[in-house]
Amino acid sequence: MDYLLIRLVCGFLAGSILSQTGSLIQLATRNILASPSTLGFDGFAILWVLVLHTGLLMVGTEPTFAATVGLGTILFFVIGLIFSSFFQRTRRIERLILMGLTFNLLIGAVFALWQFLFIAFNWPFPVELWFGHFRFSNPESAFILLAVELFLLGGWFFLRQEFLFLSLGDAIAANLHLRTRRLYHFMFIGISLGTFTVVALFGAFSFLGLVFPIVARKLWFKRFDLSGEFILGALVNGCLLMAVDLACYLFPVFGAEIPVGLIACAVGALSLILLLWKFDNRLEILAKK
Amino acid sequence: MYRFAVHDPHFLPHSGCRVDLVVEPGQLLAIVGDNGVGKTTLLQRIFCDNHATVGLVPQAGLNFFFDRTLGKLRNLYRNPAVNRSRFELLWETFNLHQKEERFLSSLSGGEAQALKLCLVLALEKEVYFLDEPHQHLDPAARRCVAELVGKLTSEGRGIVLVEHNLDLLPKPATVVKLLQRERLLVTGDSWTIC
Repeated sequence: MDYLLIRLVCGFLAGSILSQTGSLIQLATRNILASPSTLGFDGFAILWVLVLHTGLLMVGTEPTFAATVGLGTILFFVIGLIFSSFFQRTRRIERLILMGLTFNLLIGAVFALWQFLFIAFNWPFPVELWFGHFRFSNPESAFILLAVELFLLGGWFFLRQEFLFLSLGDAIAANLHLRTRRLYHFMFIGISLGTFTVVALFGAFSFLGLVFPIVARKLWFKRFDLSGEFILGALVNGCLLMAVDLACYLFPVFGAEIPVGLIACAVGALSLILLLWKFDNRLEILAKK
Repeated sequence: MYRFAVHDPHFLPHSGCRVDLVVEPGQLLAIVGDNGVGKTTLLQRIFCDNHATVGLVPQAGLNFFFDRTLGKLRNLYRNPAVNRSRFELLWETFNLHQKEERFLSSLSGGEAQALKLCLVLALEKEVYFLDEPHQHLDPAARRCVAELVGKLTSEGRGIVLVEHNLDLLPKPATVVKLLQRERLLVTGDSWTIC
């Protein structure tokens, strides 16, 4: 029972974080195709975990939870800061999305090659990285996720007015003399840390950061505006991921539990294809007048 | 007196000069010129360096992210920089109070232009840059803009306006013409050339 409770809490918190990072990245980029997956944050997190695991094994040390999460937190804090500065200069979001998707393809190939080498050297390979699941949930993971969630909520609470005016467009934000640099730094650091934490602890849940914010907007939370999407949407999406994971746990297929990340990837990829098919500049979310 | 300077050899390369824009309190300065000569670029360059003093009503559309109703936007637009009473007056002047159930994505070009003017002109700034403020507006809305400009100048605000149609300019106005030649030609006394 304790294990199931911890697992449900981890599923809920991971779903909330993915929803919030997706909302932040779409607000920052003004593009509903942007997500931690499509911009390559997932891929980079997977690459980092692989590099760290390999490095530690090569020096004869078992990869540890503390090393992976501790070092990664510092690295991804810096990555978030760098990406924020880079994005504010270029703003070429469509090109960044294309590069991110291509980068993910590259990571897929690297992942397969890496797995081959690990098998050859008879090293334990973290196969769960590619399709995330919550089988190895523990109280430490839950506390780390809670810390990240509190960071996101705290930043949102203190900066919510500024986010509101940012959503009115760059012209209004500039006229209001908003500290947009600070805003973008918080957003991308939050996105980077949130994505890395979930991937490092449980593996990749590709495209959930893309789908979850859209789910939140399609529901009635839109009437609560951005806070509705960020807070209420995160609650619902967290419950959604928790429920799907519970179903995977309770209903194994031929004795094997389907990773919830596999379901997320399938649903998310189909959703991305559908969005790309319907995408134009007059979608209801993006209003350019 | 407000002096804004643009010192960039890449700006207006055909003139290749430093530009100092001087705006007196209560002055209406109109910038005219051929398409592509650099009128919008000039305003945007000065605005980038003077956010605190200058309010810019851009020529391009507002890039909203998140579709809301006008009524929702009216309630959310609260900031120390917003003159709420002027905002409410502008809101009613442009008849936006009759359209509060409409979503931003459903606004026509003229309605969006009116919204843009309302949002920016409600801010407390010393100088306002209006880049083709009359585009898409019907005659009634254009008269509102003219009255508004007159009111702001009488309050001591400076207005710099880019306009192609000189007949729409409220009077009195100092007209400055940019020419795409080797030098910057002026017809007012608010420019200096190095």
